[in-house]
Amino acid sequence: MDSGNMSESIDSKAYINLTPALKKREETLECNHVIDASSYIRVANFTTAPRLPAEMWLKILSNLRHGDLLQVNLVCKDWYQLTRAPELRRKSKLVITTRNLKDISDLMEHIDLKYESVEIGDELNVFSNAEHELLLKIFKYLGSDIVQQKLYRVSTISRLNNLLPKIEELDLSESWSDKIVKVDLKKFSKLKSLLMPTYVREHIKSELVSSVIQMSRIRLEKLTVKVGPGIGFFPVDCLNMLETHVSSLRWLKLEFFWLKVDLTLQRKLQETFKKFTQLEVLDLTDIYNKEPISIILENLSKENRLKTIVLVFAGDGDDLLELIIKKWSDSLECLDLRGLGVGENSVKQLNFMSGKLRRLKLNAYGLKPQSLLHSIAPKINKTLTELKLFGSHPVGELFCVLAHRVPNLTTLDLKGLISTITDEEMGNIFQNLIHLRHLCLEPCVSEKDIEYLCSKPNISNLKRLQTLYSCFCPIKVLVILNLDFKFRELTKMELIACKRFRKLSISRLVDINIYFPALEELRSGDLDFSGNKIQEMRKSFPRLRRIYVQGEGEIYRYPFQYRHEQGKCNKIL
Amino acid sequence: MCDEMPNIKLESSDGEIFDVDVKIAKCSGTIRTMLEDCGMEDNVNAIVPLLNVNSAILRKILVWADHHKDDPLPAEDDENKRTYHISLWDADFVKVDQSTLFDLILAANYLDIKSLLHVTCKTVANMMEGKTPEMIRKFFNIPNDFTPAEKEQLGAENEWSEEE
Repeated sequence: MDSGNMSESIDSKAYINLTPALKKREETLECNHVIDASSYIRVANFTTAPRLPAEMWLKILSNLRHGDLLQVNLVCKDWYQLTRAPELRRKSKLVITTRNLKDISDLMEHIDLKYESVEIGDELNVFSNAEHELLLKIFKYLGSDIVQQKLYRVSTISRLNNLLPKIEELDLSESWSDKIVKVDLKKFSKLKSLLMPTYVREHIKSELVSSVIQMSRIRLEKLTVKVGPGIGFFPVDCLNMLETHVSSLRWLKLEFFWLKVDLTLQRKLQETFKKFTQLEVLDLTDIYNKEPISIILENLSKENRLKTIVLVFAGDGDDLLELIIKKWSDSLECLDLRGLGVGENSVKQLNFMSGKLRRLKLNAYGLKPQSLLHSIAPKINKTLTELKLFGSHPVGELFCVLAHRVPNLTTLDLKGLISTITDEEMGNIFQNLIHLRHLCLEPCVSEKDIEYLCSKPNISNLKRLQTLYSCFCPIKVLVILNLDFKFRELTKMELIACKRFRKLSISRLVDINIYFPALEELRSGDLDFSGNKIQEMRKSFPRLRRIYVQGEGEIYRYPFQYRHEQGKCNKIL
Repeated sequence: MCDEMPNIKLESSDGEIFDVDVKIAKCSGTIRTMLEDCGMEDNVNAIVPLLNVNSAILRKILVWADHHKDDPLPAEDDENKRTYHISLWDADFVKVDQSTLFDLILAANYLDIKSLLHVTCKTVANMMEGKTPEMIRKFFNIPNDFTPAEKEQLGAENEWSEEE
């Protein structure tokens, strides 16, 4: 088909003029090279990088994740400029803390800092007055670009009120109120998403509520809020807030605490939820009392094309699941029933959803393995990309069948299983689920020698893995087999103890560094970081930013955090 | 239209003429628009000069286009969906030296063949994954033009930024 026909004589060529289409294409190409005069890309000076135009490099770099882009911007000056382009900057956010505040403000004098997403402060540090001045200075400079903002102190928001004209997403979910301040969100005229705080004083809550109710020209699309006496917001306040934005909200997360649903509240819940029309994501939690969840699901009309439903409720949820499938089986793509007790009968109904759901999270405790398999993948299921099972999983042969039937899985999360993972099951995963990007496995229980695991398909089949939570065994296999292989995208790893490897030492970790060139975050138990060990780790894992160590028997202790700062590692509690 | 599509002649930058099935040529958005705009589908003697594509690259591109001629056209808003995997055939197709790969990118862009542009760009990106700045420089033969002071400054900024 690609035979060039040179025999044709020149004369017989019926040349057509460069048609407008081709010309137009060439013109756009030329224009694109100089994206605009004030562009981040100075193409004229684009001398060092290989001969592709900047526009093409941008296309290439847009495939890379944040960790790789950080390397790219250190390659040469032209590429540094390239990584300033807005579409690439969107992949990173600036984290301002009391420790880097001064440095950021100094650096701003020298280079053009641009971020659309900014997070201020870590949980434990409070800014002094002088630091607040620096913060203001930074925001006078950065503020006009910021679209997304996360804060840990509600008071910060009153100081930055006028400096964030473009802000669309405000995350106060982990904010504390440190002092008496006036809070007013009405100035943020482009606000679309608001995550409400939990641990703030009552007067701040009421100010936030009246602020949200008075946003007459602002239409929120996303809202999360906790409801209930003490910790949360007053239920009536909340429902009034919802009512104001009922025609625009697409994403809603409500967490109820100790909520008594009396007749008035029942009526108010019914009235409010009947009015929703645009909801796509609904996330409901009430650990103790199913009532508000039932009322909401019953009164929400089918007109809302729900794509995602998350239910957390510790109890029998068969009727809720039935209701959900009856109303939204056409639009549902993601079903998260982690906290829901689902019985044999209703799990069979999930079978009806198989092939439609892209993501499924299920509390499988007490379910028969056979019916579990049947509900997830009665036959080959190419739609499912994310699967999380709690409590139990289909074991042995059935697991092998499951792994065969969900070939497009990108996330498999088996953390929190009571049933255990065997060498055979690991082999099944590594052989069949080669598109996995996120894998969480409970520690294996094998008594056999690791050589046995080496005879199975190994984890190097999962080339695109980005996060891994498992015992050391699958990685040890790579070492034993001495494979020339790298997880180029793996940024987060947590290693847990199993029967074969009860303890991990730093030297054991350093031994495996060649497999993890992109590792940024490592969690593990019982590691000794005294002396020069941290430096050793930094050298072995050049991109490592955080190490979390969990001491034996104190799993829930706030983890030690080692943050790399300007060439040295500081331990932060 | 009849099953047997007419042919069209493409001329590479170095003057070689390629006799190509219109259906195959239409993998190129540029040629597709051109044919539609000019209504010249039955002008069998027309020659389209492709000034930016040499014969070696055009030959390769036509192999790609032949393999993908029955693919459905991507929807306009598909650009944001980067979920699809690179098929084995595609991965094999782009196993070429760096210079050819860059030529393919330029040609795919010029001829507006979105799938090829995506696969080639993704392939170059994959080559950069997990590498240090020094390794990337070596790989693409890029000189380091940062002074040590500049490098330290940028390194500092990198420390404060997190994945969004």
